[in-house]
Amino acid sequence: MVDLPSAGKLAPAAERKSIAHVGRLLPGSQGGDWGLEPIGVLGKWLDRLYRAIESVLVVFICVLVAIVTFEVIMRYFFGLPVIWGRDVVLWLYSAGFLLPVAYHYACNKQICASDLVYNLRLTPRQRATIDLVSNAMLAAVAVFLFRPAVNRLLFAIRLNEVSILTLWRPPLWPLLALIPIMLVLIGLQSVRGLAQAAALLGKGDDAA
Amino acid sequence: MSPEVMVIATFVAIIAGIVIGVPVATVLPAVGMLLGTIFMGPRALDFMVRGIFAVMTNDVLIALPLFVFMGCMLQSSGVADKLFHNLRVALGSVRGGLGIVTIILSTILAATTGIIGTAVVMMGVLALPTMLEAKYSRPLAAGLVCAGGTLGILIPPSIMLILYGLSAGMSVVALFAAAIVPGLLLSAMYMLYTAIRCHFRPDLGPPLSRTERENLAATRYLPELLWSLVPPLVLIAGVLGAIFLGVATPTEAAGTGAFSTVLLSAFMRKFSRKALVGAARETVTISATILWLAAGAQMFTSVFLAQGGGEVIKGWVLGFAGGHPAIVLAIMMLTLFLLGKLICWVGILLITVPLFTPIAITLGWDPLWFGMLVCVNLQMSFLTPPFAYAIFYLKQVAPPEMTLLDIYRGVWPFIGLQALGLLLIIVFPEIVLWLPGLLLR
Repeated sequence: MVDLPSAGKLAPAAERKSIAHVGRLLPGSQGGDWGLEPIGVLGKWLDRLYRAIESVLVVFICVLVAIVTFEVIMRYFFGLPVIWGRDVVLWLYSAGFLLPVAYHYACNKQICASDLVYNLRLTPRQRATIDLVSNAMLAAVAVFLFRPAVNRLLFAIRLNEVSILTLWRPPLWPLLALIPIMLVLIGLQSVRGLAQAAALLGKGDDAA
Repeated sequence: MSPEVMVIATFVAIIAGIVIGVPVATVLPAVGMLLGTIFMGPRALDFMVRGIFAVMTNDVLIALPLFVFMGCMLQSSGVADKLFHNLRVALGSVRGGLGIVTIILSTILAATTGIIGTAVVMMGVLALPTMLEAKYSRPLAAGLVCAGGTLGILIPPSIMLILYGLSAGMSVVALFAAAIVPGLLLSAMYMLYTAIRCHFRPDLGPPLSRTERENLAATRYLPELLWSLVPPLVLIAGVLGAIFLGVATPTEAAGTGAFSTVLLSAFMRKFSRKALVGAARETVTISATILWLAAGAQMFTSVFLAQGGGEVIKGWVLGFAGGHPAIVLAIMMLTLFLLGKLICWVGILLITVPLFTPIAITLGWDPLWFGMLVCVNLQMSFLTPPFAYAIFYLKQVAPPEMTLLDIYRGVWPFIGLQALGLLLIIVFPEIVLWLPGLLLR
């Protein structure tokens, strides 16, 4: 059961042949045909990385539940508040929300209204064009936000900024570091998506 | 460029992007970035990074993955199986009884989860085949499962209310308290509709035959019924009770609730490593996609509002037909309803609420009342085709003979009931405001 997958995955008429999926269905050789071997390698590495991230985040979610419960039990039943609880919970939650963003783009799980146009009688070239636009927008977001995100991180490191949520006061930079990491991941994912869309556009409508 | 042209260009770009199928979480920051760099320069990018950080450090949003995990885990716990059987015995002799049982169970599930998928899938697997076997009309059966499922997003704990709290800057606890009566009202309306419809048309929802009832009721069902009610009621009391009594914050209640569903699953002998990993994986997907969209919306609205876009929209809406409150409300409700047919509720909520809330405040409307109007309205978006999540879920688990046309035909009466519920809340604001006044004095 998924509450909010892309409509494409669930809609009965939605056989969304997205570029991101094409990348998975036709790995390696497809890139080779179009002189895109580096993209094929990038795709393989990204898929491996995504699988690793997903495995780690599955553990994170379980630990998140355990820590919140532990904190409540310690506070209400033993009168011993856990000083590190809230900050660790924030780290786990933030990692759980930012690290899989690129992965969800790769497997078309980001929320989109694909049933309005995308899934309805579009040719593969038209779909590839939309994917090209979509990935270009994503790349722009990753590229333009990267610098301010790194600047914010460096600022926190330079000033030894700490979290003020609890008396534990851990450094803030691990939390802030997640933003540029996420941006790098979505940047790489958008490069992969752009290359695959371009490859499909080059192949024409027979590609599907 | 005048602010009016800026607003029109922005919304044309957003709508065009969404309609062609670009993920909403890409469209919003990309448009926001373009808008920001044109009007504010590089400073806009700092605003946007701050928007991501605001979602990362929002204390209440931590409850979102926890409530999602709770729902996913509950689905594999088997908590509904026995309850469904016993309720079926209890109400089997009534015309439309199975339909009423479906709504009762969906309401109980709604009070234990914050998402709609859990109830639709559970009822789709459990109640739908039973109703079809009992010769229920296919559209009615489908409509009941879909409409019952949508209660999950309204009756607290609800991830919609958590996101609404973020967008409107309101207390999630107050929103939880405000949503209880409207949720129960809709549930009662669905049951009443089923009872009346099946009373006059018994062929739509026939009662169980005497033999079937005797076969089912071989054991003492009343004690069993009460016993099977215990786990979900304990869960509801533990989570909602803790929140409303001020014992725990929504995040703490969500965490302990999630942990309790793991224990419950073990108690029902349904716990396995596979179920746990599956629930955690679903949680990552559902919550990360919603939260990334929330971050995208924050990035967009921080720039859009800083450029005075909110003021322009406020001026337009209030200027329309002399700013008569009824007309303003009708425009806003119609906008939400139409958007609900096209895009997912998360996008609608995160885009429209920051723009509509200041208008509501200017007109002197109670923010809780207005919030509930938005949430009940968005509930319809789960049922209104073409973009209707409840229908997608049901189709995934429904038997092959259940066609999409059956489901579409079945949901319309319930959309009508939701619209009637919305109207009742508009006319009688006490439906929303009574309980928060009582609980949160």
